[in-house]
Amino acid sequence: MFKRSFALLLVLGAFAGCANQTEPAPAEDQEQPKDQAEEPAPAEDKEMVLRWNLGSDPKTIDPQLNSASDGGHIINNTFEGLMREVNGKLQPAMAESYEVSDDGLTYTFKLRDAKWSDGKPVTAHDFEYAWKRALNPETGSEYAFQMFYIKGGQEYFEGKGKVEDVAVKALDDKTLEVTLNAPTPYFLNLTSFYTYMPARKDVVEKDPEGWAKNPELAVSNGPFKLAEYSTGDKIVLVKNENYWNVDAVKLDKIVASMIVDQSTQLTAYESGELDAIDEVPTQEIPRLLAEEPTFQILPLLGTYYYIFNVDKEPTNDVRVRKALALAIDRKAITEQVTKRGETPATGYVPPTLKLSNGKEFREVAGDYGIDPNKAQVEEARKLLAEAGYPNGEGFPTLELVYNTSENHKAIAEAIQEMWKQNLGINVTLTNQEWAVFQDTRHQGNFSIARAGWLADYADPMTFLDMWTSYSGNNDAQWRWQKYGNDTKLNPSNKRFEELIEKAKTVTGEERDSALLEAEKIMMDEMIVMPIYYYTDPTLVKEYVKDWEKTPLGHWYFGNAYIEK
Amino acid sequence: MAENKSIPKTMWEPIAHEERNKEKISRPSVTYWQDAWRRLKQNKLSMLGLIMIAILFTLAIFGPMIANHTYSDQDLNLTNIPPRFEIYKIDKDTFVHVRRDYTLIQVSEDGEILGKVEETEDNIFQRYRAYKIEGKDIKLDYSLAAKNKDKPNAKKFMLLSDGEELIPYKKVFNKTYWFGTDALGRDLFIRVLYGARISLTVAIVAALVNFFIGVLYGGISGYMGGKVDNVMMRIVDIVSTVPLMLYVIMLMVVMGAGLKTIIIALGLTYWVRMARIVRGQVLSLKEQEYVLAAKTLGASTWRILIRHLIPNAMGPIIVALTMQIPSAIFTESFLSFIGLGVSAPMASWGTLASDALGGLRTYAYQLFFPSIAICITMLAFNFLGDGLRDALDPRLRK
Repeated sequence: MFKRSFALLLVLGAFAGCANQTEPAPAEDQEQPKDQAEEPAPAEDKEMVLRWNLGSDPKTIDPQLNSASDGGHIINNTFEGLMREVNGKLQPAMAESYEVSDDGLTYTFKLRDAKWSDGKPVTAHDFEYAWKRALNPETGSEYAFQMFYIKGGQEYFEGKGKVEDVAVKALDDKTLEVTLNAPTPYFLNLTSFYTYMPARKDVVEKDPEGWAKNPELAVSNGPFKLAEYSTGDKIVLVKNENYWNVDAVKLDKIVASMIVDQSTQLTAYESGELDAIDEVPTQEIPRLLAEEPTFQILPLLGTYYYIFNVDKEPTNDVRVRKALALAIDRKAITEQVTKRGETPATGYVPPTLKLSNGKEFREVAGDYGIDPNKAQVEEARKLLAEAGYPNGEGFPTLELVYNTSENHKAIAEAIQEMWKQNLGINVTLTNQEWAVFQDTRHQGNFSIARAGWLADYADPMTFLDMWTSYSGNNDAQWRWQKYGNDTKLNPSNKRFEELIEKAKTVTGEERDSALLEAEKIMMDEMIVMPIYYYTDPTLVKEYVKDWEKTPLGHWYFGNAYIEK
Repeated sequence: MAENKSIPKTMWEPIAHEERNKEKISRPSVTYWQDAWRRLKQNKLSMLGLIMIAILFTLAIFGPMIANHTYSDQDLNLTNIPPRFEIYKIDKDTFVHVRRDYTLIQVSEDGEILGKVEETEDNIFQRYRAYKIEGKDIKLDYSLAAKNKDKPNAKKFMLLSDGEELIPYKKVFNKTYWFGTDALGRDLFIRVLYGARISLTVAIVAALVNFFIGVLYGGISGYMGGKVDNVMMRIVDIVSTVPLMLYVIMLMVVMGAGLKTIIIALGLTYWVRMARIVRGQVLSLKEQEYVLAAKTLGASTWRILIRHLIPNAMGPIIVALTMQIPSAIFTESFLSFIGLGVSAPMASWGTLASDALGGLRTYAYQLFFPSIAICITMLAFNFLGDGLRDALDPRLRK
């Protein structure tokens, strides 16, 4: 690639040089051949390629199996659900129209004439298959609980119900009917989420684990399709000529590279090898803010927090958890360590998410006694002393686990020092590779672990229902009933789960109060220690137009184009 | 006949002074080691290396003892202060330094860090920060930074005192933090000193492992010969074909990351080269007559090995040793750099370099100091090794 373009440059340069020789040399002759050589060929016959950095190699890009944001970026560009959020507005995508029954329980979607990338039509059966696949306990989808709104879904997943009882049904090829357990105000939003995207039975069954990453097998129904997947190197997406709205897709190709190192990403961006990145070294942010016009800090619905393992000594004591949570200076972390303009977090649900009456959840819920601007050393020490560790004496050395990243490391080091100074306790830091780290957290092999949660849809529920006893994402092991390896039970989770389940069946103020109480239980138990609410620093070259990031932080290039 | 038997009187007279000294060895009798030391002393580079190593050890052992803070002490208000900076005079005794993120640090005239100045206004849209110092309105306008983005030497900000632009007063060295501070406001000098401890620990471990395992293993293998030699050398082959990185990663899974893991991994692999060298030496030495003599006198194998063979192979052993030490230090730095080394906040030179990489464009000094420390140590050991090779080579003996 590089060699070829370099040769082209030389040839062009030579021609330009020839032309110049016959002309009287102008004063700036030296500059001219170079300028001409660098001019790009006319846009018509040149492929429009976007070079974007995805970051790490996604664990999966299978819509039903994915649970990470890197896979989400790819899926958002290769697949399309019934609805899609464009410019913050929810639009019909695979669905042409939909009807909601008066009780808000039954949704009937009429599908448009859309095709898969191999030319076969997208049918309602593909949706029915995909949704049931996500709920099938054998699929092992970490996001199956996103489907529990569908009647019969949770029962099927937990092995108590039959697949036939899951209330999603293709009435014919173009009509999909879904019945929900309860009126869910954000169900349409959910249908734009990756777990709800369709899948083709014949393709998935050829290779249930690897079809999505295999360009020969993978079919998709979104604006782009997978053309190449080289592990740890790059993913190449090309325009899906069979996409229903293919005229709107202007990019021919997206090269998603997997440069993990932030510094390397930034160098590649500044030297023009990448057009879009969304991770930058913390140390460079003040400079970029002051100097780089293409640097933007976008809002992002998410919380950065530490999880306490509520089953392990000494973090099984709520006083210890509270002491640890109170003893850190969140403002110092966001201003001096992370520097991305984040808001210090005083609760788990991030700001901007609203209650049914239009008020912000965060403002109504309050701060649970956490001061965002300083460490509450006195209170923290008192709690620690009550728990039996006055001045940190006798407190075991805890292990703090984080996944390998400069940013996580810096935050961990700062917090380690704050705990040491403020509470007199020692914490060791361990970094783990992302895939290993995810396992460590799921299995509860930690005392304190770093975590972050980004909203899957714009409702406080997305932050709260992950802490139910049957959720695979309940990494704090905070469960009142047995689940997998977690056999130590925490009764406080029971009321929480009841409230979440109640909130899923009721609307209006009743729902609001259930959600608020649920967060209060969780924060009173301090199963997690919120640190800050995410922001999304993004660098996109000015010649890339109409790119988009959804409020959930997923890139979307379906309308993007390059204008040099 | 009688005449023949008698010795002339003259023969009994004492010989002249000069004659008497003729038989005396004019050079003082020196042992092998004394000679080697003498020749090493003549090699200036080697002596420089030796002195540098001595200084490094002294600093690593005693430096952190006398320092008033440790490697993990943070001051989040004083992050990223370089070792040498420009200061601006605000008032008679008030000086400030403008950090690269366009915030102000109050300093003294000769470069002591006094603290961060809290801004009274931070206007990110018009790109300026306002401060109130000693009753004066200070405005730090960095709007030029965006305009002059691609010109590294152009002016990036203006510091205005009551509307009047200030010019740099002078450039001073950082008196509080000699090497500056890192992204979390930790003293880089102290961290480099602690890093030296880790690097030298690794050096000592590598040397010990080489010396005890490598030398004995090679010696036994060479002296025994035959099947024993064959089996022992094949084991060496197997150990050396597995890359060190693999050992480290596997050990990390079992024991977790840390200095201990690296040291064990080094211990498992670093004796291999030494074993081969010693075996080669012993193979040729064991044919020497003194070995035969020792055998004839009934010396045990152990005694022959320890008293005769290994001391005679000492030259190559010491040379190999001084070459292996820097390689071990470098391996540790490399492993730490890629994140397999000591766990934070403890820092070795490798992790310091790795930490600094993120801010390389803006805070190059954070990479400079650990790298220069690695360079100096590498050079010092290599100089010494070179000199030792010449000094211990009997053929070069004059």
